[in-house]
Amino acid sequence: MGRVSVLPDALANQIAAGEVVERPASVVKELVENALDADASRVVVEIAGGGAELVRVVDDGVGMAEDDARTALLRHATSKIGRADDLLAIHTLGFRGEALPSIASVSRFKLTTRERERDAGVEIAVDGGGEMRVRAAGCPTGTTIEVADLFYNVPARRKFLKQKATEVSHVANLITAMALGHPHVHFRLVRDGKVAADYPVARRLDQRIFQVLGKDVTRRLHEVRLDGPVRVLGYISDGTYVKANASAVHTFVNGRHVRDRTVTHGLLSAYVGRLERGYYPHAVLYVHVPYDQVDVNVHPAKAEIRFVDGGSVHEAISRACRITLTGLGGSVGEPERRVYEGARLGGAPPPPRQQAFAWHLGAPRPIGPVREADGGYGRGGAFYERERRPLPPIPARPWSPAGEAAPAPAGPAASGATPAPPSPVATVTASARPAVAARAPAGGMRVLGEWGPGLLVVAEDDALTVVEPVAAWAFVFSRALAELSAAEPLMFPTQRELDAGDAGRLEAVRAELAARGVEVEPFGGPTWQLVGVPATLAGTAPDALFDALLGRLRGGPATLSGALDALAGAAAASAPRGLDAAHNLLAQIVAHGGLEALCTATPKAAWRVSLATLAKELGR
Amino acid sequence: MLEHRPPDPPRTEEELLARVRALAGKTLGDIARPLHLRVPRDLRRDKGFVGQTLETALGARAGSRPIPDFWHLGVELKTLPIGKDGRPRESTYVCAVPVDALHGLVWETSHVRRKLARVLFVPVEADPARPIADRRVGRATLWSCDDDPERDTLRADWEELASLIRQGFIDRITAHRGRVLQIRPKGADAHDARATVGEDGWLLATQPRGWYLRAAFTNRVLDRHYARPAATS
Repeated sequence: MGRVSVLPDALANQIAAGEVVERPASVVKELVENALDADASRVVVEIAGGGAELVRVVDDGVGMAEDDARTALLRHATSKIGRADDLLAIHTLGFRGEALPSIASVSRFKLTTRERERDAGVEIAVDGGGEMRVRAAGCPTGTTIEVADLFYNVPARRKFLKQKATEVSHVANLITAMALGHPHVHFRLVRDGKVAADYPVARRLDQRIFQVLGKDVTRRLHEVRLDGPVRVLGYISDGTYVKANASAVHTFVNGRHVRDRTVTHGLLSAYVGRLERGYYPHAVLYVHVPYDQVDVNVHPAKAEIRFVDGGSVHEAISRACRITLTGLGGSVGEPERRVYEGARLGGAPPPPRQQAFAWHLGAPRPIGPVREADGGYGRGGAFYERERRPLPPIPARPWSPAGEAAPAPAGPAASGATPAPPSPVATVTASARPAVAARAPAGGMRVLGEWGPGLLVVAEDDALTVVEPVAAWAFVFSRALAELSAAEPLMFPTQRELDAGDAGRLEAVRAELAARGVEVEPFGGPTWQLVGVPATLAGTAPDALFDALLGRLRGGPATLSGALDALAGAAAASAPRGLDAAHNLLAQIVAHGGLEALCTATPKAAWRVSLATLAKELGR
Repeated sequence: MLEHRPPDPPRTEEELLARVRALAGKTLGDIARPLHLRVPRDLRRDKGFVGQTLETALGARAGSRPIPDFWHLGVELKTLPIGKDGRPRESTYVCAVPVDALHGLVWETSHVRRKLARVLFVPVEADPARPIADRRVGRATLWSCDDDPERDTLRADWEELASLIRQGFIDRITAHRGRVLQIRPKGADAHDARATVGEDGWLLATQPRGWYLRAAFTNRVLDRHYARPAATS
């Protein structure tokens, strides 16, 4: 037998429990999240002995049929996702299908459940991940889960539990967070038979904050509201009502209570200049991000999340809080630099059902009632309801102009067109330079190789040609320069001092040269400068071009053809050589009439023999 | 002695372009002399000499304010020191990073975008072997970041770096970040400090920083505009 084996399910569940079930509060978290995912409107949490002896969570959700209840206790069994794509947009609080089997593997576990439309329910009991004991049971609609003797079969884990009071405080904090995150759900925490906290259904967020955080905190909070792809809603204190730890900061992303750095940092960054180092404001902040823009599948306990575009979320939170804080005045305020489309506050407020909240009168910017039409916090509230409406996706760049795909500016005029008059300073345009290297020469030519003193041997179907590259390049440049083209500016003009005769001869051909992209101009005194060349000559050193041009003009009459020949010769002399450049040369030759045209125009540039002639010479 | 007085700001873009066109080919000494500007022996202690000389010669009045040099024309002047190989010798300073005031800014409203909306790049020879007075000014090119083929990269760099600062990661930003735009320290001295939000969310004293265009980027801008041998591209 090999040394590697698959672990038994019970052991695998216990290992998974190590990640998911850390303490009684972890159990409560998982079970309450299940209750909320089951659309419960009332969740009662009972604990005894700090949660180690008993955790009971009773909800009035949709309940389960017997088959579903059995399956729910298997590992990786869930009703919340079914396909891999579902992971990309998780709407529920849980989705892993790990919690129930993990909890059941480290406790005496009992699940009692009944669907609304059924008369009888079912009870399933499991001790330490063993066999399921199933029986019919009479029970109310919904699900009740009892977790007794947590870690009874894992003594090592039980040792890590803290004092009862500590564990109870963890559970209480959790219920506080859950209650703040789900105002439309009635939460009750019962500790050792006594009601420790009771938060009835709140129709508005301010009611729930009042229930949970109390009057003193609530009266010092101010509303935050920002609409957009990332929606932010909540209440924050100003910089004078603070705590020395972050326990008063409650942040929720899509209803999930999170301790996320991006969210917390976004909140704190709004307090720049208002908050002493080491202090935190009081805040209850709800952030709603499209589900496909947040990844909750990062941590087994979903304690961490990851945003696709954390910068946008951070910015939205910071901006929303800044707007509120700036409205309050105070020590430091930075003007908002972006037009803020405020929250739509339409609709008449409903009559208050419970408290009138007279305590908030007189506050600088007190909590106002959340209007039903604007998304109250009861079930069906537009802001907080489990998202069933499709949200507008976050555009990659929401501020992107409509003309994102605007074409690049056009290049200089194509060959043959009349060049535009040279502007003093041209704007940058796309380069119109010819391709530097065309790998495959057109016309069915093959370079057989380099031969002798740098000659190129080129084969066609019906002829063999030996090309002298410098003369061939001169032919190419001459043909290119014969066409009208625009000038490309030289970064630094090339200057030469000319005598009166040279200057006169240069002036005589200046306009015609300019039409072909060669720009020369007087600089002052006897100095002239070459300031632009056509794209064809861009690869040649301007000094060499200018010297060749002036040399030709000094030596004879000032003709355009002579000037162009001089430029073509200078460019050819510095053109790249060798086999690597041969393909480019041949492509250029083809573009200017082919090898026959080369032989005709410049006999010294190529020697050509046809296959017929060769066959005749060889007597074949 | 009217010629010794710095010119008034150009009234139109055409006038500005004509002025800068007239400078092409002149040496810094030629330009500084009629303006009575002393040409320093080296630029270590007079880093801004080249830019200030050209600003003066062209009639810019913005000084160090965070507005374009020719604010009425919306044109920013940037000198590019060009080495012997025809490439920019250093990155190009754009503007200070408002480390404490990035919130609410988007690319379109950013200082960088405003500064780069229309830039008059003026190449200036910067071969260390050549005396400063003998270094020549080249032909200017008017460039707009919105028309550049790499505009999306520019925007993406800004957004990434601005987002990092907003989220408090300013101390994690090095000059290696950003493909065409980078952030580097820029301060009068080591004691110069600015307040920004740190990683933990509270204020943090940090050194001032500036936005810079990478030299490779400006080299590509030059390559798209000027006729240059392939070796410099």
